[in-house]
Amino acid sequence: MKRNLSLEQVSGVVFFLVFCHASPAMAQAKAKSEVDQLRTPSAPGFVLLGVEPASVERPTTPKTFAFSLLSAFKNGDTLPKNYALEAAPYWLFPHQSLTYDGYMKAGVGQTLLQTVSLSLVTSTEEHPANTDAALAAAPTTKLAMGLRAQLLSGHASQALIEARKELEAAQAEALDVVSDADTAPSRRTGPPPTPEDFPKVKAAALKIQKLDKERVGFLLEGAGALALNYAESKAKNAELSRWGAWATAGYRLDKPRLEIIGVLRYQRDALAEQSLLDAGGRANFKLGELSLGGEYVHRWAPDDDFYRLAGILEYQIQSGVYLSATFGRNFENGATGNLISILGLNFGLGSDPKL
Amino acid sequence: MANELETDYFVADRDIDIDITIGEAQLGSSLLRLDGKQLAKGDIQHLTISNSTPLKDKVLFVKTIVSDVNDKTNLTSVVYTLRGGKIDQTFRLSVTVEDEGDSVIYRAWFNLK
Repeated sequence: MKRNLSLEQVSGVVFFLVFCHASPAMAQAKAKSEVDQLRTPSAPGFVLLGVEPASVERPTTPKTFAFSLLSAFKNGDTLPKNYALEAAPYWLFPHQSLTYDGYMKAGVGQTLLQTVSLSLVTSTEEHPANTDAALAAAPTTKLAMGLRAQLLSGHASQALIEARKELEAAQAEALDVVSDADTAPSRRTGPPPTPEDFPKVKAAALKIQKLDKERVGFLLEGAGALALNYAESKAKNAELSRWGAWATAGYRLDKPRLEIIGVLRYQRDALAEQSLLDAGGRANFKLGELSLGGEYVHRWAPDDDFYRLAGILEYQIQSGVYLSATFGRNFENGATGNLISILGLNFGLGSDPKL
Repeated sequence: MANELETDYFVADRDIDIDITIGEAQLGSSLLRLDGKQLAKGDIQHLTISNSTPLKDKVLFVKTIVSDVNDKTNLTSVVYTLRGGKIDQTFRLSVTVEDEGDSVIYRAWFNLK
């Protein structure tokens, strides 16, 4: 019988280790986040600006999309402060003829349509009190826009195929339940029927949603973003500050559970006239709750070339909770050194794109 | 209610076909009864309902469960297409579920006239 470590046991160990190694762990937290980001970002606009908005508007219809933009940009040529929006244009509209099989077996063009997403974020920098008074009263707003899409998104894994059968079985059971609502409205005499609830169906549906993000086969994705500075938060003062592009290609096997990803990313700082190019790869092997991986990234920077090499070990304690260890060599050669040595406990609060 | 439909469908003196399309990349399953007798269950595509016993004045009841398996939208929809009657007709129903993974039961009563 499989036994996972309990959350309490692991938390105690991690607490001890973190507080015995507080200083290097904090210095390396940034390295850890970079290690984890060897994939196309889900919201490239946010990543380029280096922000994690506390609140993101995600409209689901054309009306709410338009309303969100109009409300944010209603002040004429003054940009909104700290606004974030993410939207998938294809899914703002109904698609009554798009079946699940059609969605899963989409060609390149249809995949592109189904997966394209837009991200838009503003971030306002308030100037410190000791600068020019006029400048302090007129903060700079940064705006970033990003676009991300897949060209190849793989196909259903065996687990997804099984989950679909589970759902079909649960739905068949649900259909057999006789309800007052099965009486035609014109023949009903009693109170309105009560809403129906099918927990087994819901559990199976959520499982399918999760497994849809773990498709196997060839995966190909790209993203781009650009960031603009607006002095005094005025639209007329737009100035390109940076732009970036990402491309990710990968192959995921079902059995054994092996994933190989290659990433290219390019960032250009237009103001400093400097560029960064990263090229790297990651291989990940999963065996039960244990995941082993290795990552190599080569960076071409203005001053020099660097590389990062890391090994990653992850153990799933329970759903959404992972114990992870990362060890290797990071890009930096500064005072803090370039050793990566992190042990952490991760709580998954949202879904991350796998590619 | 947006998930219910009761309507007349005028038959001719021949078999009728029904197609049920679950849209928005969601997954669903249907159950069909003709005057209370179960005809079919599952994924209904090009199902022929025989006119060997006249269909006139019978009620075709279709119950469809659609589950939100698509995390990109909470919109669900079902399209019923009936052919073989006096005219071919298409009926569309759509509901947005509140939470991820929720299901909708659609019900349609076709009074065959």
